[in-house]
Amino acid sequence: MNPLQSYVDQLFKGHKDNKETNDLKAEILSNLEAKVADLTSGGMEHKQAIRVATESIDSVDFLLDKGNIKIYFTRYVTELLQIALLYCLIAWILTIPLRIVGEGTLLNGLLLIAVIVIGVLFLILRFIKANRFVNMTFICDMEVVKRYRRSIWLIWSLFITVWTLGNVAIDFGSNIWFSHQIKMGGPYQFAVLAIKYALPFVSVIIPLLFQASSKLIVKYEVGERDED
Amino acid sequence: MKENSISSDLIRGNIDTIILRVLFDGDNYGYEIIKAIAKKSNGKYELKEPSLYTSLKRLESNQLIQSYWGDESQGGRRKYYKVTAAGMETYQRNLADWKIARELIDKLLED
Repeated sequence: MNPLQSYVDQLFKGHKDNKETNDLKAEILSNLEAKVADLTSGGMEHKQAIRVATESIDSVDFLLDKGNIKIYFTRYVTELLQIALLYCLIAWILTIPLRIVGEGTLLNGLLLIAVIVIGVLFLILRFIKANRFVNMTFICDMEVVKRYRRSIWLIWSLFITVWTLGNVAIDFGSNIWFSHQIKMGGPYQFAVLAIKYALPFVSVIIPLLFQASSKLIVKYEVGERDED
Repeated sequence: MKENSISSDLIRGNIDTIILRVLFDGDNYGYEIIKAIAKKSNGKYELKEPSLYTSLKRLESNQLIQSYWGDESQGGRRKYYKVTAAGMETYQRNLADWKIARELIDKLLED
């Protein structure tokens, strides 16, 4: 086998077999071939040329491995809190009319508490100006974050589905379970019923926050580590 | 050797612009870019492969350059790079910035 090919194969060992990896592999291989051809045409021995070429690049991890990325932790948390604050505020405002049922009042109250707590934390982080604190970094594993994000969405959709179907089964199947039909006395009762279905959807802010947090991780990545 | 590493440090911040300048002369692929830079510097500066790939990746993700595969009949496929309109703009801006900085640094260091 071509020694350059096997060298490049070994460089990429442990990296996922996807388009990005394969493209980079082909690019590096063709550049190494060009380098060897150039060196040998300059009078260098073939073996020596291969050694020089392979020594010129001894890792590709810094080009591909997006697994672990370093982020500005404080700035990241600050913006995440800002987004959380916004989401909670919107949810709080939207749930004000839901106070006509008991659960609605509870949820609305909890959201107000969340707004206050998050708001205070956000302000504290905003007003600490010490450089060391602002530039604090943190290494996070992108793969894990992505996995969490996926599972959070999955759990949330399951929760919504089960909750909604369960309610439908109890309310509209009451004829079967309790030989007693659901009664809606008027618009008020209808609203109460509708609220019962709408309430769990407020929890969408949890997966949305996860979504936002993984975008922010990319935004607050510490600059590229140039090698020279 | 020592001299070389000092100049690398000074050059590092401009590698992206240097590569843009090379691609300004025509589309090119990785190893030829290194060669072109070595030639332009009369062999005084040699861009290392890891820096080249890092820089190309950054330039491409910022859409300052575009890549396409060449159709070599022999050997591996070469990945060519081409400057985009945004790349040209960035190059002009960086060049202007550099001129200002150079003047300033000259003043600060010499006088």
